[in-house]
Amino acid sequence: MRRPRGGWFCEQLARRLREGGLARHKRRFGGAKARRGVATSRAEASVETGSRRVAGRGRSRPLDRNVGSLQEGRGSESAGTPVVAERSRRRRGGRGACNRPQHQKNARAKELAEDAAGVEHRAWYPWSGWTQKSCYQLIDETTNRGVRGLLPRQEWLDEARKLDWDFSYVRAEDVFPTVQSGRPWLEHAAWKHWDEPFRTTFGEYVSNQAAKDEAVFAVREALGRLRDYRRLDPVWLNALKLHGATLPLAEFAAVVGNLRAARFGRDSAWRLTATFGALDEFRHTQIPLVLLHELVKLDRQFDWVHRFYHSNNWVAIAARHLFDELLLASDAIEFAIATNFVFETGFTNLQFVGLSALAREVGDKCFERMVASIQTDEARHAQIGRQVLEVVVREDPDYAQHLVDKWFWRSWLVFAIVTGFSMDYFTPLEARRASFKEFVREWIVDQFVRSLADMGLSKPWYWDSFIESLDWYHHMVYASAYTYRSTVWFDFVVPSPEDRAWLRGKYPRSWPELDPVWSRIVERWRAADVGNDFAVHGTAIVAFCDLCQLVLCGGTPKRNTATSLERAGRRYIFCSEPCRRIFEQEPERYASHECLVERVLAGRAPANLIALVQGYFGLTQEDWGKDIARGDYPWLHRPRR
Amino acid sequence: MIPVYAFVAGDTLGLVVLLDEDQTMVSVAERLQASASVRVAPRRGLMVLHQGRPVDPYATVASLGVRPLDRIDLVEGEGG
Repeated sequence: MRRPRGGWFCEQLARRLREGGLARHKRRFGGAKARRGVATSRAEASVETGSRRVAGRGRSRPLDRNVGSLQEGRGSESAGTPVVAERSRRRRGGRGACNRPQHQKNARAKELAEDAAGVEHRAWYPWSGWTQKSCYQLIDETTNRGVRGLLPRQEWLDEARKLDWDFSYVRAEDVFPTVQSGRPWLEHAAWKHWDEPFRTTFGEYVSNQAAKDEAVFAVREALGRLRDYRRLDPVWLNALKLHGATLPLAEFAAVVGNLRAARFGRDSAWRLTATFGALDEFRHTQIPLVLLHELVKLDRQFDWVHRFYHSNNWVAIAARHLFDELLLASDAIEFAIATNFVFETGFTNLQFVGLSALAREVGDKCFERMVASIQTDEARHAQIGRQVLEVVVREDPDYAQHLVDKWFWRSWLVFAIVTGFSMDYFTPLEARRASFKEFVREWIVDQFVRSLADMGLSKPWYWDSFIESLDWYHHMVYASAYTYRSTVWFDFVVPSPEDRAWLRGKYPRSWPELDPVWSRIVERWRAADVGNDFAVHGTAIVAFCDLCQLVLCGGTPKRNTATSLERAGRRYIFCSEPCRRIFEQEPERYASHECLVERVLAGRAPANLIALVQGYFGLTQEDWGKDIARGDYPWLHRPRR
Repeated sequence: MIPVYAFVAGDTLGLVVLLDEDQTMVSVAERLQASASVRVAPRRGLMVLHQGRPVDPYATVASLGVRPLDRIDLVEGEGG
């Protein structure tokens, strides 16, 4: 007969309570319970009943069933004092509760009056007799020192984290189907040593996150007013617009990915950590939305903080194509490796360290604090990926290598644009401490290669192309996007002669080939009237990659690496060999998606640029991207006309 | 009109350009240069490649059998 773990846990708990914990517990909390006269004995009886039931029937019974049986009888227990009884009835929606707004208002007013009069309420956990104050105290003491009568943290946390049990009514394959849990499908024995290095309790989590939120909002109160933003370099604000649009709702999609892992992850400790991850991602959605959308009062382009993912803007199409697959469609194993290991450990965790430092140099304290706050969460839940990857490498190393290769490339392209633009173009020259390439080499390449080696994995097969692209890719996209700036929601700047000298120094291999593009753009501005953005703007339809959905900016100006493929009577084009290979490995996953060019050719999107920008991308003349100086740069030396 | 993917030497991105069937490759080269002119100054001495192969500058789009979404490159070299 298989014995469920829940039963063992209950037995351990009951034993510890019997061995003295309960007596100490009574001494500490006995006053309130004694007044009610039932709670301690009820709790003890329920625990024992729970363990007897489980052991006697030998059935799978999740622990929460036992907890449920404790809670079912709490109505009568909470009737110790009139205040407690009334409050608990109202909260439970039982007798005395009323849905009529006026009655609810009256009830709330009464509660406030009681609070003001110092009446002690037990409404938090009325069945236990614990007040809100004692609950906070309990969290604090169990977290830090261990409270008398209760187990200290280190004695219960491992038991609480590891609550897996054997199934008898259903097959484990049905509880954790491959389509949701991922492959390789392994017996739980393969996962039972899953162990996250940074353990936390719910109490600690709530306490830490509350403190971090307070810190963010304190900085916002002090330094996040509109006048503070007006003091910042206007070029830097475009880094905020870019991050503000692409970050928050991608984080919201990550809530779904984490919740899938919280249900279908193969070990309870993984599921628990993923639950915290989901809560983290809510923060990462809400904080940037609150901080950055408010800047719409300063500049209506910040409205795209909310609008971006709901639009058919070409950048949004590309971002959705990536994040839908990464965060919404991936099973728990792929999510852990792709998001937690590659995207978060490899990119965003370190990116946020760099961005935070950059924001400090620029003087944007609010963004600095926000990014730093998010980074500390990323560092915690990113640890899931490594633990999952270790198991997959052991059982199916080829699949592990495939996932790492695929997701590093897919993540890199978006990361290069968002962070590359911000570091090399939107940061004022005097605030730049390193180029994007230096940052990636120092913070990402070295540590990622080290992580792969630790795991026994190889560098991705396209590693040389990736290293090559550090010199080119984001510069190619920036110059291209500059000449199609009306298709996005933020403004662009032409690099000044000093900027170009700095870029030449930082990118000696690529800049000599890129600089002529900027010379041409400057030449066009000299010939154009100030403010006539469309005199220095592309009009031809831009081509997009059928995998990443980004513009075809691979390779170098001399040799674009675009490559095409014919499959089932349809022609596809890719910006690079890695994008093509990823497509070919799972064509059924990507083949039906239409890139923007196909939508235009099929008549589902307008071919005319202005009609496309306004009617399809959802931009208006007020919020589409412009040259930040309207072409009126002092260094341009425009001839007098 | 036939849409093709166009890549001009010195440019930073690929474009989609619509070609007439009776256009010669000389005319195609001019068309591609005009499309990329905001980033790349037009110049002489460029060569047209169709699907990676050099083509006769006076051949037409139709005579070369250019199909929708073929790749046309304008690269450094004699011709055009």
